[in-house]
Amino acid sequence: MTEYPLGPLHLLRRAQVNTMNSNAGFLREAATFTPAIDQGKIDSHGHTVQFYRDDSYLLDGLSRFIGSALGAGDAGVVIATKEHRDGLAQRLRARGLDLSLAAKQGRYISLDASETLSKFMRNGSPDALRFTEVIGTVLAQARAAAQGGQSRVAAFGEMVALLWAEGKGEAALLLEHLWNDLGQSHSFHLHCAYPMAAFGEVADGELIERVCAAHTHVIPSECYASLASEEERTHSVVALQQKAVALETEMAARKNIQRSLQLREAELVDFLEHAAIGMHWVAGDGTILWANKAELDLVGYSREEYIGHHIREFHADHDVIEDILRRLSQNEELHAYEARLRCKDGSIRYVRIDSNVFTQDGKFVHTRCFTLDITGQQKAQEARLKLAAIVESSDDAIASKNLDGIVTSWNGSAERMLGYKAEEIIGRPVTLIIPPELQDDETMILGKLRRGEKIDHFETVRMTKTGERLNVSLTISPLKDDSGKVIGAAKIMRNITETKKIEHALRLSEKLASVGRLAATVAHEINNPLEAVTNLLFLARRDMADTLKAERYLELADRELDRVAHIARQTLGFYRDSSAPVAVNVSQLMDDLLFLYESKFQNRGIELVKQYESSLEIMAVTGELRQVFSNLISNSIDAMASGGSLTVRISASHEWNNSHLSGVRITVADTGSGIDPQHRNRIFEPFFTTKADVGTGLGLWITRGIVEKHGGLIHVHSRTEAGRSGTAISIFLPQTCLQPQPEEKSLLFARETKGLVNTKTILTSSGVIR
Amino acid sequence: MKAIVVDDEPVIADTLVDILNGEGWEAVPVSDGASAVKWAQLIQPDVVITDVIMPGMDGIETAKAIMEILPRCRIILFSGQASSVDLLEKAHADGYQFEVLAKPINPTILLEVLGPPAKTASSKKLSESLRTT
Repeated sequence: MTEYPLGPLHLLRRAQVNTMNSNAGFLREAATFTPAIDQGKIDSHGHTVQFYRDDSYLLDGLSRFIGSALGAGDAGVVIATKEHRDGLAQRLRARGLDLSLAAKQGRYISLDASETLSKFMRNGSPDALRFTEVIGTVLAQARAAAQGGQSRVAAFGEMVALLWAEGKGEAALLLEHLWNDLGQSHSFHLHCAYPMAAFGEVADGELIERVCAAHTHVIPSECYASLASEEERTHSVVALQQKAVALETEMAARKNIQRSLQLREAELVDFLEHAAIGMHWVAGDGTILWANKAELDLVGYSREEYIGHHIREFHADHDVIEDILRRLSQNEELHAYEARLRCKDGSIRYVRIDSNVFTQDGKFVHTRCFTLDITGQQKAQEARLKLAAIVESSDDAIASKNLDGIVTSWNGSAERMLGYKAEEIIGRPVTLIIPPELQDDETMILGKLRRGEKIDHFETVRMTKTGERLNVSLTISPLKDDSGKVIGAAKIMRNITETKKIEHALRLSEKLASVGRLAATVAHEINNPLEAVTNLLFLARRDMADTLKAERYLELADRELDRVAHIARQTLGFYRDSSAPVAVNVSQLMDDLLFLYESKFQNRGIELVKQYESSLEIMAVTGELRQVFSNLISNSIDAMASGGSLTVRISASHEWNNSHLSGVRITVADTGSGIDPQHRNRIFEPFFTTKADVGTGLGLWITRGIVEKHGGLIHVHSRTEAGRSGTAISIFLPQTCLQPQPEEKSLLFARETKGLVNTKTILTSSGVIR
Repeated sequence: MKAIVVDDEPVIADTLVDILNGEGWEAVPVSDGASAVKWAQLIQPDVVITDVIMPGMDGIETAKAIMEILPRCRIILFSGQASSVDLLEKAHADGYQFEVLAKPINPTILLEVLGPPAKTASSKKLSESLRTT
């Protein structure tokens, strides 16, 4: 420990400079203790302040100070803390001083500092009068007891230090001044001491000056005490100054660092507090130590309601949180751990937790938990799973594919219907289930899907794993991603093989029924003329004598037989019809049928108007075409119970939508009551009929089926207003192969039939002649 | 004896009437059921021969209507079609018994079935009936 001399500042400040005392011994003691100018002389008046860092340094010095006084027979007063008094007493005894004797003699007075202090403190400040009373008395006593030549009193007091330690700086200074005042009336040398540590603040610099100023001598702390020469002292002064500058620089730097650290800390705190993800710390026992705003917002609780509580209070599933805590306590890291939190309002939020543990010296300090709210995704996930479950459990076969036609999903019903297990067909092209002859279907379907079109109830054929063909009805919808782009298709397949079988049976039965009806008509058409002929022959024979009458009868009979023969020729040859398409002369077919219905027309008072443009031929199945015409004609007859006009028009035409398909248009129009608007949508429905007991309701359904099978179209126009009512059914049938002969496109007369039927013949050209 | 022949085919009705008249009947041709009922009311026939399948009132309805007003009138149904069978069965189920003949029928046989027209003094002559209208 090097010791430094007093600084020049203090030299200037010295208020009282005392001359040296001749008591060399005393001085020599003091010299080793108090350097520089004070070399030698401490006289009866003096107020020294000592600063110290280390207690033992203080006590060593004090023991010399007090010890020399006591040794010289003078008095020593010690007003100090118990530790210091004991420490001092120990040292004095080690010097060989008999303290108990001195105490008995009244020369050694040892008092407790705080006790003494309390005797004269009033309202946190030393009271002058009481101080003088208390301390003065003590000093006077000591002086009286002093047996040394000059009756010196060496006093040590650290009451000021106590006050200083209590933060009562002003009171301490006041006390110092009171001591000084006491020094006017009493003779003593006072030594006070302050621990240097008490002046640790930069602001204390001013105060320490004031303290020094209140004393006659100042003893700096340890480092300076032992320096002897001026040179040494000035060197150490320079060193001290440098140190001061260095410290100031360092302090400034430290302040800067502190500022930037504060900024940094503020940034980090802000980052944590206001991060967009919930964060919290949980202690080893599960108590929440800290949570950021996002976390509190997530659960809807306030800070007080969350922090300090146990984390399990906020989890919906206790076993989950217990597992989380258990793993974390074993220092496990958790990633994407899913849990459910219960919010203040009772709602449940799904979260994903990422957490690890902050340990220090191997001890669990707290967790570092991140809480991600996945409620939205969870709900979407649940919805998806629900849909997937619905698809899987549906009785309909549901599958999906991408735009390359590769199967991407396949439900249980699809497995059962088509025989392929999901694993077998997912990832493979959907063409696996398309029969070879229908492979183009897929191209057409994909084309429509890419355009975002839906395919509804498309009837087609699909193939099972075993090669069995099934009639199916497909509904295919485009699948779109979030941006609306088509990325694939979902299809529902319904096995309509059974339905198709039933429909086939229905058609067959209707065909039979139709044939039956036709046959009935034929029978009627044959039986009646035969009856007429029978009667006519009877009459001819009866009235043979009357040749005119007889001739008339026979003529009539002839005509009737003609009709029968015609009917027999045409209609009873039905069994020869093939079921493959052949070239059919449409007008001829129609005429044959109309002939059959001739008598009916007559009896009902139905006027027949025929407008045939030409002799047109189309590829068709004869029997089916006949069934269609028959259906239309008989419907018209039924509609005109009290007579009317039936118009049959046949002309070359083009498909109404697609002008490149040429063919024939056949229109059958009546002047009946028309079709009720509310029924108009239903007339093609199977089993729909407005006729009480005559119809099966299948006629138009089958008619449409046959027309569509031939690639044609059927249209209905109808009016129900009285006076203008009627129905016209128009059919377009494509020609396919045969073209009508050019010359036959010119005017043609409709055949005039023999018999008793009224037929109006129409010449068609650009104008109509009636 | 008066007769009404009902058939929507004029040739048949006319020729039958001609045949019957030649045998001493007083016969009238009618072409529909409703008119037949009116004529029946008017001339009080002894026999009505009617076709079954006709537009409007069919033969069976005509027969029933005439039976209402002339319970003792003989009614013969005359049919050329198989579907009349159903109608007849239905009528039978309702408690009616009608005679049925199938077309074409030889007039000789029809005349046999009818029997010769009895000369009853009590019944009005056709012309008389017509005159009173």
